[in-house]
Amino acid sequence: MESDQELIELANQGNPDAFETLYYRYRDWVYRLAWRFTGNREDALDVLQETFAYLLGKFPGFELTASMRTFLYPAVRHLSAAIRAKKRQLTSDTEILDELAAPASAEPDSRRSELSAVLAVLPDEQREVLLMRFVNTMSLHEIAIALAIPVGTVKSRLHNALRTLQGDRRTRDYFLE
Amino acid sequence: MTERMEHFDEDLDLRASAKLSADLRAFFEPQRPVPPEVDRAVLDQADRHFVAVRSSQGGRR
Repeated sequence: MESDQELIELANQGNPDAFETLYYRYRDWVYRLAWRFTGNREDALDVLQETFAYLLGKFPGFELTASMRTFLYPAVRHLSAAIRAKKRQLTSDTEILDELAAPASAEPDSRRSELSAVLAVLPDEQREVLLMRFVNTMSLHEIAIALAIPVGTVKSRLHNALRTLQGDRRTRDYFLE
Repeated sequence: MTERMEHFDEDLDLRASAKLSADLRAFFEPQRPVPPEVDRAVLDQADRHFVAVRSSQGGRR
């Protein structure tokens, strides 16, 4: 299987198949991230298309300096914010969590509701890092690059977020003894 | 809140259970997959783009 770097080199030479492989490799990751930022399918799909249009515009001549995810994350975040601003939707992680935590069935998942309640009180920057780590499966190094902050700051934010979750009676069961 | 870190407890990260990750992911899980028409739109745009790129590069692939 070709590496991202190899695919980028091929795409820089005008190979559409290489771009297609990159698209399917990152499509669902971008979609999930866009959905997290926008909170709805329609906008997430718009962001998905705009993100890959943005990537496409980099070819030829695209040079990947870190990883695809660190390249894509700020783009998805920016494009999501632009769509929200255009539609005047003030959606945030907190608002999405509030909506999602509302029981949608006759059997409400109280544990998830409690998790969302604890997440909602985290400072934005801590919640962002926590979600990048556990939802978007990014490494500490990738998070640092994507947010343009030192790795130490990432560690600090993640540590504080996890401490809060571990210290709260509603979410401490998520942690192994 | 200060972001200065006395020490980063990597064990804390590791001790977070798989259930935490699963529940967090469930909050932000798209309820439906990307539809094929979106795939086609993206890839058709890419095809057009790369045709133009190859043309500008003298037909090299």
